[in-house]
Amino acid sequence: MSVYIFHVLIMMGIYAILALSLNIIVGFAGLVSLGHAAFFGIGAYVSGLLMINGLGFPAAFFLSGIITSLLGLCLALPSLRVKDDYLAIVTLGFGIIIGLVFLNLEITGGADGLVGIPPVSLMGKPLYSKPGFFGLVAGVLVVMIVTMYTLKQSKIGRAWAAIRDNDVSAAFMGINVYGYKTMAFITSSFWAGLAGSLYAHYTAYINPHTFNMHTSIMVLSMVVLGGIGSITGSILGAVLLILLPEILRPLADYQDIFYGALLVAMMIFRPQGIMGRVKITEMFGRKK
Amino acid sequence: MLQAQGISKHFMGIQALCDVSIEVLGGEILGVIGPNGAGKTTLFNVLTGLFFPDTGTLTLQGRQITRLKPHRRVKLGMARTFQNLEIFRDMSVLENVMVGGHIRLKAGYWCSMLSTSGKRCEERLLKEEAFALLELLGIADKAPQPAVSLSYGNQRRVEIARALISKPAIIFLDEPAAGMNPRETQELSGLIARLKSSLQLTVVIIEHDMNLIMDICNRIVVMTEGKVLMSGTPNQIRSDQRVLDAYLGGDIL
Ligand SMILES: Nc1ncnc2c1ncn2[C@@H]1O[C@H](COP(=O)(O)OP(=O)(O)O)[C@@H](O)[C@H]1O
Ligand SMILES: [Mg+2]
Repeated sequence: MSVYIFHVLIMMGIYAILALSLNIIVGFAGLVSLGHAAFFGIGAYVSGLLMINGLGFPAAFFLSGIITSLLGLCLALPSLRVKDDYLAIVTLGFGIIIGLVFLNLEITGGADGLVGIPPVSLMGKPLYSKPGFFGLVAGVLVVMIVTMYTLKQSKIGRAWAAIRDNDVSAAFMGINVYGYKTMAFITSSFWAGLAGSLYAHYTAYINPHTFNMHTSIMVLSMVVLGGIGSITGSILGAVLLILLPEILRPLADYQDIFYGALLVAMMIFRPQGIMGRVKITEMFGRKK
Repeated sequence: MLQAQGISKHFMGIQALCDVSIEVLGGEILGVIGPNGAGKTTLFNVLTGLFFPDTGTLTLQGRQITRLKPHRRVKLGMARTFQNLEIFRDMSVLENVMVGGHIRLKAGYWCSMLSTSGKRCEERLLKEEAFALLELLGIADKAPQPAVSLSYGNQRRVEIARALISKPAIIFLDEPAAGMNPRETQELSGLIARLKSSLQLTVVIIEHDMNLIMDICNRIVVMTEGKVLMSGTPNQIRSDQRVLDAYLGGDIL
């Protein structure tokens, strides 16, 4: 039983990292990305392949983040020049193309996927225990949350907020709009890559199916459900959308209908998401 | 300070600017007046980089800036406010002003992420400066409020503070007194004159309020139909028949 609980907790942690990373693009900088699962997948495949080919864990982990962020840069440079509506299409296309690449490359194992990915090893010892792996995921998540708060609280966070709000006047504040949008994509894809790496080493087996449109939409739903731009919201969104299928397992056939209804209901009754603009520090005490 | 030579700009058949040449001298307050649709705002947009001109050249302190992006021009010391308030709607008054100080903050990506002491120190100084500016504009008590909750007049003050905090050499004010009552307008005109001398600012101002324009401007450029009709001192403008005609005997003094 406790093994099962830790499995759910690990999934929540990995998807919280993924949702938070998407929130940098969508919530902080006010852009769209409909292909976020591609970054998740790139991180997973890169990390898996690096470790299969003999690299140690911390190195493969960081390299997967860096290589994924380089691909984020490659996507950002041409697509952030176009207007926002096109960005949705470009990121959607990127997601589909990367999915096809995973499916058709020999090195990624095609439709069969990548088997036998070595487990995480810390200081030479493989980490098989689920609570131990959860500790690792939680540690990465905490580091990410802290850096997201500090970034949000800095001139970079303000520049992103300005761009999201009004990119014309942002430029007249001396903000390099294109540069800061690119920075949001790089930061976001870095963390999505790390989430992918954790996923790959946790499951030991990955296939293209995990990194398709469905996942992109699910992660976007987590961000929207929790509240666009809210850090606690993205975590809550991930927790809820990982938990629901577990609870609703007997109703698995209707799961997608439930998701859809949930999102529509959110849009109608609470478009700002569960957390909305409420800061978690304001939820307790201080209520005017 | 700033030269514009032969600037033309058209929008889908409308010739908004036609061969406009103006020069802004360092340390002056230059007024730009003219009827609605004369192309005053378009001129500001070209000078500050929102649009690039179809023809013509711009030089700022001897430097060619004709096709320089707006954020680059800010770094060269340009700042502006907008006729149609372009306040950041999701932010508080204070945050709006802080964003205006973007180029003054040195901390890069890593220092911001790690929240180094240098980063926190410069943020604190900027925040103090933002408060001081809000104080100067008489809206310091509104600092924590959402910027959109303010009256139009106060939103214009926020825009002025937001422009000033970048420490510009030249500032463009597009109808800063619109939405203000006569008393507020008078306060504003005193403030602009004071700021100009204390900060050694060069000011270019579009305004329909002729009292304000005549009071504070060293020189005035009159525009009609995308062209410069004439330029001169307030006294020359006041007594010029062409200007009177352009305003169709309207509200000019
Ligand atoms: N972005 C734009 N797109 C199309 N037409 C514009 C735009 N900006 C200004 N114009 C047109 O240019 C002319 C001059 O406008 P504007 O510069 O705003 O005048 P003013 O500020 O003197 O009232 C007007 O006819 C206006 O409709
Ligand atoms: Mg105008």
